[in-house]
Amino acid sequence: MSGGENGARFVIDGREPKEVMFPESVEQAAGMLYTAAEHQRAVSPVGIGAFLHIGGLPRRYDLALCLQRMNRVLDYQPTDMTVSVEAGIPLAGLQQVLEEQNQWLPIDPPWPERVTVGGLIAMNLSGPSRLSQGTIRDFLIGIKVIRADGTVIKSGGRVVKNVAGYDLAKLYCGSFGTLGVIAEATFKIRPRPEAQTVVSFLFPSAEQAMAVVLGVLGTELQPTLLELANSAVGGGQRSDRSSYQLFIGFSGSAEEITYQHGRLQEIAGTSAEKHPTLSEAIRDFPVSGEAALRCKVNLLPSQIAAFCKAVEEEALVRDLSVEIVAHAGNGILYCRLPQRDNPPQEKLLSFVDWIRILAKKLGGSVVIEAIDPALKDRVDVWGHVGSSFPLMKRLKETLDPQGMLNPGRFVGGI
Amino acid sequence: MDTAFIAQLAAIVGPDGVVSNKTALSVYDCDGYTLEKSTPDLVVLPRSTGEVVAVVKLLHKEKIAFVPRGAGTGLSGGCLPVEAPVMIGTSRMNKILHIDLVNRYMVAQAGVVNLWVSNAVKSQGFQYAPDPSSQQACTIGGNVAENSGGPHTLKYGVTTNHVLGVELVLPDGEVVQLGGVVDDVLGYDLRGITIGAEGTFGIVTQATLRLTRQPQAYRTFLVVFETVPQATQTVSDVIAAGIIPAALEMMDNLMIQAVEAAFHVGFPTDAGAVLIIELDGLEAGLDPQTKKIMAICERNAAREVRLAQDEAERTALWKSRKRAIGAAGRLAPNYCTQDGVVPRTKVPDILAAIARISEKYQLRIGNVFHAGDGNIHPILLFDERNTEETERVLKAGREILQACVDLGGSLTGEHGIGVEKMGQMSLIFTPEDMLAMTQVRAVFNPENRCNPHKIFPTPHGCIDTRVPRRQASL
Ligand SMILES: Cc1cc2nc3c(=O)[nH]c(=O)nc-3n(C[C@H](O)[C@H](O)[C@H](O)COP(=O)(O)OP(=O)(O)OC[C@H]3O[C@@H](n4cnc5c(N)ncnc54)[C@H](O)[C@@H]3O)c2cc1C
Repeated sequence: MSGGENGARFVIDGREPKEVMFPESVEQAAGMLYTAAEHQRAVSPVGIGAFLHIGGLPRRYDLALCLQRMNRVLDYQPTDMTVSVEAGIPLAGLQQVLEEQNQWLPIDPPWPERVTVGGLIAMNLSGPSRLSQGTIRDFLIGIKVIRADGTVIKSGGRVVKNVAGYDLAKLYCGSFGTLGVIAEATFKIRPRPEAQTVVSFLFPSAEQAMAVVLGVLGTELQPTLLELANSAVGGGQRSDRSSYQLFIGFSGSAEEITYQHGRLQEIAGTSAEKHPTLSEAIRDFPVSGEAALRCKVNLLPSQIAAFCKAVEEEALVRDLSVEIVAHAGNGILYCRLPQRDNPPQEKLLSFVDWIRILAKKLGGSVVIEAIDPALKDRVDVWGHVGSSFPLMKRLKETLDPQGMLNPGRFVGGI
Repeated sequence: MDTAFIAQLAAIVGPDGVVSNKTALSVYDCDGYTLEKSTPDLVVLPRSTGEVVAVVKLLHKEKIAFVPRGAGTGLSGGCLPVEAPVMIGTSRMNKILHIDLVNRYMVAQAGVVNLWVSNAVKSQGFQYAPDPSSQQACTIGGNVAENSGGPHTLKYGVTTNHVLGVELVLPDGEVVQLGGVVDDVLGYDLRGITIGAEGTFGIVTQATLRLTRQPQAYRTFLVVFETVPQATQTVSDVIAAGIIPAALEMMDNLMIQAVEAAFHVGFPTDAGAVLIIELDGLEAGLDPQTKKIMAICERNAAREVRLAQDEAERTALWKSRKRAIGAAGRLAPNYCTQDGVVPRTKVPDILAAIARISEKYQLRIGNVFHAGDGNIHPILLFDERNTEETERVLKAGREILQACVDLGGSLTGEHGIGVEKMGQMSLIFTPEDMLAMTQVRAVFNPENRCNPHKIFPTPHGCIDTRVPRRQASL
C-alpha cells in the first residue's frame, strides 16, 4: 500500500483529495474502504483521472481510491469468449490482450488508453460502435463490487446467459462511483470483424444527412457506425461552412462490405469518400479539445436534424460557434463551444438554458459534461431526472447510507 | 375474502375482472413448474395502468400481499402465490399502444403476448428479437420479469438488451417510468435492475421495446450426428472459429424421438443428436460462412447436413424446436424442465454429467437446449403416480445444477429462481451478496408485499408440495 502520492492528478473541479491510495488487491481496497467508512471520510474511486471533469461538484473529497494497480487479467477464455479483469486495467490494455486472439470488447469510447475498465463501467462510456454493438451493460456479465462499508459482493458470473439473482451489474453501469467501488468485471466478448471500412458523404444540411441515416436504418444494411459532424468540427476547414459530414462504417467479410457500399450509393445518391478508419478526431470529440461548454444531448434519432438546425441558427444569433458530432443512429449528440471563443459566463449560462428548453421540447435531455467549475453551482449539470428520482435516492441511501461515495457528483446531488 | 372487499375490487376492474369462484381459481394454482401448487384467494384482471394503480393502492391500504401473473408459462414457480392471497393477472392488458418505426420502438402493455410484437411489425420488415420458445403464449410482462431468452439470443441478446423502458406500479401504488425511449437516460439504470427481478419489485404495466430489422437472409441447417459428443464438439468448434450464428440449438436422441412422434417432420430417430444451426444477415455474407460451418460439421463426422430450402422448411424446423419441450409429454406422463448454464466449451462435460446422473437415479432425461450459449434444458421424465420416482427427479435436478456450478456455471439461464431454486442460491451467492439484493428489493418493495417468498431462501409456508401433474404443453 502506498498512500499520499500527489493528489494533483486527481483534482476534481479544482479540489484536491486529502489523500490518494493505491490498493493492489480487492482485499486491500476493501480494507481501505472499511477504514474510510469508520472515519467518515468521503471517497472517490478513480482510475487514470482523465474524465474527472464530468459530474457535479464534489460536496466532500477526502480520499481518492485509485485502482490503477489492480490491473490484472484474471481469466481469459477465448473459446468461451469471456474475460474477467480487475477494474483498474486500461481499456486499451484489455483490447491488446484480446486482439492476440482476434477478439475485442466491442466498446470504442474516446481515449481508450486513458480510461480504466472500472471507469468505463461507472461512466457508461460508449462510442460510435454502440450503433451496432450496444453499450457496456450489454457485455458486462459479472461484477465484483466493494460496498461503502468495505463488504465485497458480486452478481452475475462467467457465463453468457444467467438470470440467477438480481442483475446488480446494471446498477453500477453509469453509477458514477456513487454506489460502490467496482473491483472486478467479467465481459462477454466478440470476434473481431474480418474487415472494416468507413466512407463519408457531405450534405448541405443536417436534414438531408439525417434522411440518409434514417433511410439506411430502414433497410437491410447493417452499418457499424453512423457519425454526423457539422462543418465547425475540425476548426471549420471544410470549404462549405453550412455542410454536414456523415461517416458510415461497415464491417464483415469483403462480400458484405462491397454489397453494402453499392446499396449505400443508391440510397445516398452522391458519391462517397473512403477512409481507412474513423478518425480519432471524431471518436475522441466527446472529450477532447478545450471547451467552454460541452454537453451530451439525448434525443430520438428523428429529432436530430431539427435540433442541429435550431442550435446552429441560435448560435449564429448569439454569435457563438458550435461544434456538433452525433451518434446519429442512436440520437446522441455532443455539442461543444470552443474555449478559444472565450464566451462570457452569462452568455454560456443563458445558452445552456436555451439548449435545455429546446431538448425538452423535442423530448430529450441535456447533460453538461464540461463547463467552468466555478459555474457548476449555478447549473445542474445532470438535469431533471423525472418520476424515478425518489427511487434513485432511496437506492443510494440503501447502498451508501453515510453518503461517503462521491458525494454530490451524481444526479440530483446524489 | 369478504364480499365488501371483492365489491371494492369489482368497482375498479368491473365484475368480470374479479375471479373468486373456486373452480375458476384452480386454473391459477401453478405455472409451468408443477411440482408445487397453491391457489390464490382472488384473481384480479385490470385493463389499464390506472386500474392496476387503484387495485394496488387498495391492497396497500389493506396490507394484503399480491403476486403478478402473465400467461403462467414460467418454469420456476415465479407466479405461485405464497402467502399472497391476491393474484393480479395481466391477460386483459393486451394492447399495443404505440409503434414508431423511424425510431424503431414500440410501447406495449404488459399482457401483450411476445409473438404479437413481432407480428405487428413483420410486414414492415421489423421484429422483436427475444423469442422464447413459449412466445405464442408468454407475455411481455413475464419476459421482463424473467429476463427471458430464446434460441436467437445467442446473436441478439436477451430481454434486457431489447427493453428501453418499463412502466412500473410500485407496491404502494406509485407509478414510475424507468428508462425511456431515448438510448441513454439520466441516473441509475433502474430499468436494468427491474428486468429479471422476477416480479418482486412491483407490477410492470407497460414496456418500451426496441424493434430491429429482420435479417435479409437465412441459412438454416439440420445437422445429424451419430453421437452426442460429436454434436457438442461441433458447437465448441463453431464458436471457436469466431462465427456467431443466429442460433445454435441441440436435441438428443430422446428429444428427437419425442418431436418426431409429435410432429412427423422427418427427424432421423436413430440419430444420437441433431443441431439446428441458423446463420442470418446479408445474403452476400452467408455462403462463405455456410462453407465454414459445413467444414466443421464434416470434421466432426456429421452424418448428414440438411439445409432448409425455403421459408416453409425453415419454419417447420423452428416449429419443431420450439414445441420440443411440449412434445416430451409423448414420452412419459410427466416431465420437469431444468435450466442450468455452463461456459460454452463445457457443454460436453455437462452432458456427460447428466448422463451419469440419469444412470445413477435410473431416470430418463432428454436434452433440448441453447447449446451456443451453454444454456442446458435437461428434461426429466417421470410418472407422478410413482412418488418414489418423483423424489428421485427432485434429487437428480439438484445434482445437475450442482454440476453446472462445479463447471463454473449458474443455476438458471432464463427461467429464473422462483420458488424452485431458492434453496440453491447459496451455491453461487454469499449471504452478503443476497443481503445486498434483498436491500435493493426493499428500495422498490419495502414491505415485501409484492411476490413474497421468491428467489431468496426463506422459511416459506403454505405451498403444497403435492404429487405433480402433467405439465402444460405448448
Ligand atoms: C414450453 C415452454 C418453453 C419455454 N421456452 C422458454 C425460452 O426459450 N426462453 C425463456 O427464457 N423462457 C422460456 N420459457 C419460460 C417462460 O415462458 C418465460 O419465463 C416467460 O417469460 C414467462 O412469461 P409469462 O407471461 O408466462 O409469465 P408468468 O409465468 O405468468 O410469470 C413469470 C414471472 O413473471 C412475473 N410477472 C408476470 N407478469 C408480470 C408483470 N406484468 N409485472 C411484474 N411481474 C410479472 C410473475 O410474478 C412471475 O414471477 C418456456 C416455458 C414453456 C412452458
